[in-house]
Amino acid sequence: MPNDTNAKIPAKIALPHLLALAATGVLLRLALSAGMRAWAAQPRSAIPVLWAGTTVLALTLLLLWQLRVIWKRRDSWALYLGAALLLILFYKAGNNRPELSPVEIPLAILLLLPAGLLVWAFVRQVRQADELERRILLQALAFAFVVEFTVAIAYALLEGMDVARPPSILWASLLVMSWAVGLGIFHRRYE
Amino acid sequence: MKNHLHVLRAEREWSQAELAQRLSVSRQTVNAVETGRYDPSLPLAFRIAKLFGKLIEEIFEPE
Repeated sequence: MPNDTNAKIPAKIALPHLLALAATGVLLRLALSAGMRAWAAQPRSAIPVLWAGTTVLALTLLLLWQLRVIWKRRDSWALYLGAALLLILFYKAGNNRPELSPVEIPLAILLLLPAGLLVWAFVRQVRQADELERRILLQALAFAFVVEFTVAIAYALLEGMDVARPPSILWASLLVMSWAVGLGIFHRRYE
Repeated sequence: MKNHLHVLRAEREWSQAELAQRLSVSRQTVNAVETGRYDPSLPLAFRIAKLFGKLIEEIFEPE
């Protein structure tokens, strides 16, 4: 079935959806951090952890609903961008300790959700694309390649200096975000 | 490349979405072809010609 719903809603409407998704992601990340801190401070006290758990559950449901709204709009670029935002938000910065507390495990699992969503959306888009959409996909891919390559080269040149090493998840997120931005730009060119 | 797709579609009172469905492409593709922003591939041009019962050169012509 051809994808003929792209132009029914102006693309700019996707922006509030993305901002809402990012806001929910930030709140979810804060709730998870609060839960982890509460667990670390008082491992035997169930009440703060319960509160954090309930909040996390509610925010996760809200987040899934927001993803569903974006998914139903079939704006692939918005879906990619949303997933990339979530990847950054859920990424556990700081020291990578080998052990995971019971509260940190959901965080690690949540990171798989946007990553899986990205793969699913990408495969679906490639399989359903018609000839113009394939051209747009290729142009967006070329755009993402150029952005990633330029940033990687710039970083490589700066690496010898005292520059803080960015977490590796940022490279994946940059690739997805530049891909999403490329899709937005090149879709607009043919509208 | 110029084309008469818009006129042919209007004669049949089809929407862009309806034509897109008949051609198994996206509405955006129909719109891009109609406005001349995208030149269709030969297979798609043949499908368009067959759908309207015309020759390719009766629908598409060089600018």
